[in-house]
Amino acid sequence: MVGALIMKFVIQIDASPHEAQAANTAYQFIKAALANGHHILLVFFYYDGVCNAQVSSFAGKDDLSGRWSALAREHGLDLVLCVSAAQRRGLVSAEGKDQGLLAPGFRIGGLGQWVDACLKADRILTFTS
Amino acid sequence: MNHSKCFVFVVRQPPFRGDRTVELVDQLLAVAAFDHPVDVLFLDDGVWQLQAAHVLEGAGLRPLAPLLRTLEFYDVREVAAEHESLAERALSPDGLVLPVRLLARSEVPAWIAGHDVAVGCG
Amino acid sequence: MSVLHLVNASPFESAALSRCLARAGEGDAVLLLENGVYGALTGCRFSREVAEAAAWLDIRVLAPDLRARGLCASSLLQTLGQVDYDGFVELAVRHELSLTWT
Repeated sequence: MVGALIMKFVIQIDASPHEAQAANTAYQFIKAALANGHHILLVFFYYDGVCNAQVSSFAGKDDLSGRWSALAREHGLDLVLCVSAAQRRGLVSAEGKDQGLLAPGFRIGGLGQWVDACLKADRILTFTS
Repeated sequence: MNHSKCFVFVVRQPPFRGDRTVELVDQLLAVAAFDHPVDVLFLDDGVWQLQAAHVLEGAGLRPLAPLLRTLEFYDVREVAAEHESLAERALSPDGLVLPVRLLARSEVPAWIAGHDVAVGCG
Repeated sequence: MSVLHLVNASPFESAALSRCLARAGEGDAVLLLENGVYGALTGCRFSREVAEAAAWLDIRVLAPDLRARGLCASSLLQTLGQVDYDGFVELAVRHELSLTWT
């Protein structure tokens, strides 16, 4: 689109996909933003949002962690779990290491990365419940 | 170009929703630690978090007051609470766990709009 | 700076919608989404409050969330515009800040 404003977004997701719609809303928003030519600098998972990285034992094509992995693969999205939130929920070890519980495409990071990305972004949106 | 931005966190939830307050304070302090101006606004049931309380031993609840008082020590620029939210709940601004700037409801939209990043916490 | 307010809770369950409308500023926008779309219904307890706010505030509804809940156009306040996810992105571009009310 000629003349359209292209923006850099940081998205924060605070909710687990199992108890709220917010994570799926964020996923749909990101897909639409990418389709409209915008850039997603960081998808930051905080609070119960870190549960988006967990692979369900019933994983099928509707499983959100799988859809996040596919979207990250197709668009080079940076999906970052806040290490302290993930440790609190037992998703990563006390040393901050992935224990094989995370879906492909997710990585462990910190609040500093979120702050840094916010400084570079035009828009910061939080999806919560 | 990493120019500084001014952040605001809006807190609307009552206390003891799991680790919400701990994680909120972590995020706030991360912004402050990188030397960016950060404010926090307590609105609606969020003001209950500011009420001084004794948490009984054995209740399994972490007292919030020491946590919230860290906001003062770590260069959080302004801790604000909405006057009407306190008044509706018969809370006096004098009895809170830390001093706050009182904002009238009519001042809230412009005050929020004076920031570069807003993080709503439910 | 203007704010895009996201209201994602049903007004029958949470005071988020009223609380949001009381703090929205001129030039802001409100998007009703997820269970927040129930705030767009006509003939309900909250219809008048929402219609009055819509006279000075840009209030939109996320259409996919309406469809998912089986709500059709005839049951909605006619003054509220509907947007899809592209329209949601456009609202986020237009407003510098965003806040969620739940």
